[in-house]
Amino acid sequence: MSVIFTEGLRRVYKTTTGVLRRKRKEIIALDGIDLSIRSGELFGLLGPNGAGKTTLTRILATILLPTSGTAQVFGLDVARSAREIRPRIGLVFGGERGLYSRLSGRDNLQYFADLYQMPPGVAKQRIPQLLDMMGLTERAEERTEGYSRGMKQRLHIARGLIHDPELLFLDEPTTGLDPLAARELREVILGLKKAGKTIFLTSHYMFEMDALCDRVAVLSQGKILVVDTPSALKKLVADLEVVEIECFGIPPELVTQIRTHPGVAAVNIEVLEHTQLLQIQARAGAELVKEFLKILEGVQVRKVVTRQPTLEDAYIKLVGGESRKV
Amino acid sequence: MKRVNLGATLRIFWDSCILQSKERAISQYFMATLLFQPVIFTLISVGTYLYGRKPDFGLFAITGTGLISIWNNNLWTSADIIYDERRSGTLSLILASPTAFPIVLLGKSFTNAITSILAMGITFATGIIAFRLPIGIADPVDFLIGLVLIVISITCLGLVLGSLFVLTRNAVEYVTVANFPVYILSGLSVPLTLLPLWTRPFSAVLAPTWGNILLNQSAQQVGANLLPGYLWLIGLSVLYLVAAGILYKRVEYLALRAGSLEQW
Repeated sequence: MSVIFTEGLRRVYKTTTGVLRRKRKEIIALDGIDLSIRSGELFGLLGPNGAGKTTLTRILATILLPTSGTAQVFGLDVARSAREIRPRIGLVFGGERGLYSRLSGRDNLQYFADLYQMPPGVAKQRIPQLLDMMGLTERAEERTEGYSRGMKQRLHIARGLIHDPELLFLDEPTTGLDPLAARELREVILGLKKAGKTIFLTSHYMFEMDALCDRVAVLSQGKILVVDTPSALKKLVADLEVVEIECFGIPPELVTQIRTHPGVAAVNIEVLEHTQLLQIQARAGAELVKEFLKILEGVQVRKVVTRQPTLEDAYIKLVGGESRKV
Repeated sequence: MKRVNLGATLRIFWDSCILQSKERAISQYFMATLLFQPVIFTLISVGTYLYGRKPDFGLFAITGTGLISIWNNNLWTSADIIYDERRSGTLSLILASPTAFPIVLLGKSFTNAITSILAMGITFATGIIAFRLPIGIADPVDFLIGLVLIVISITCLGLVLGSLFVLTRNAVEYVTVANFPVYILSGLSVPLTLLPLWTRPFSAVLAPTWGNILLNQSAQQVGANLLPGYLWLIGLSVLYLVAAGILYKRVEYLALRAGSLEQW
């Protein structure tokens, strides 16, 4: 039986605009989501900002109602059986929020242990274990307002695990962390998988999904484009090469020229600190470099690299080369 | 029917009391509301009656001001509790836990009500020190019982308001609007007899109205018939609790449907 099952899941947000002439507006956040996630699986949900990742996570975690369709966790309907589902799931959001800043790390865990109605003896054993596991023992008595972002994030995970849930939702847990803290957190997540937890992970970091997940769903504009293993997704672009051209200020019309070139499958632009990185997926990309540089004549080029495609490139191909800032 | 784990419920009630105490102890806004507002209110209201050569109203002014401070404190902090939970991103996490949110709210509201008794003490102290009013409480035991019942009743009312505030991120604005009508309707700022008859039903369902009557009666005479006041306060507390229970289920559904738990 699936731990998570959704069919035709849809969520529409209703909002209004204007002051005197108020207009109702509907935003479709999820549009017909079909998913089935097995026990013990580390499942990744990948998508750009605003794709609907957080909405789907919140519906499955019983803190948001779907507009229509089916959403089941442990075979129970999220809308009708939320009280039965809640003790069996853990929820971790990325970012600074979700902790009591004026309580110590230990007191935060104690409070959530009581919210999950854990027997005092069990909580007394579990809290030091989790603090130790997250490397927070030495600063457990300090108020969390003085914690670094990485420490807060590790405490979030400890909080999510306090009642030893069967299913853990991790919503962009590494966002905003420095590379070392993010790597440590990924090791923690892998450890949880080894311990048999089912994990539902959302992220917009491709390499993270590649390194961690058994299967990945790509979500864009509220719809699932594909669900498969990271290696299978990479095969979508196996016949392509990626040409990366870093330059200063590319006029949009030149990007359009490259995008419409017969050998090009997809183009993505990443805005870096001072430059732009043009990522071009093309068949026999190395041979086309000269043609690309000819199109970019007059533009100051800093670096040109040709490489094999990654999961990120598969993602770019699937979502259509949406621009992202790094 | 779902079994209630009494031990776990009491633990989270107590934890919420402690958490609220810690949060409030370092809130300058709360301390200002609790410590300075009663002094200012007392100086204005008692001074007004004395200036109008109505010194008999001194006690009325002081109990009324004390209750205003208790009510004010509770109303603001009910809104503030939800606002704080929303801002810190813990509201949705509490709702995602197996504990019913009203238990958390009850613990926090109770802490507010207990600490707001201090406001009553400050009001009396200001009256005595600033105006040298000979304030004696004729029946201290009944006065104390009345005060405890008021605190319980206002805590329960705080639960109703807190439940409503889960729905909106504009709780603090609504509180501003709700504050002054309650002062007037409860007879805390002007005697009830001066209000038009049509306002009486509204006055009757507000705990501060009966608290004010009880405190004034017990302060002025020994052996006054306080039973109706006690019964009203107990009845209203039960009514508020039932209303909060019914309201909360609906409010939770609406908040989950609107997806408004994390807006602040």
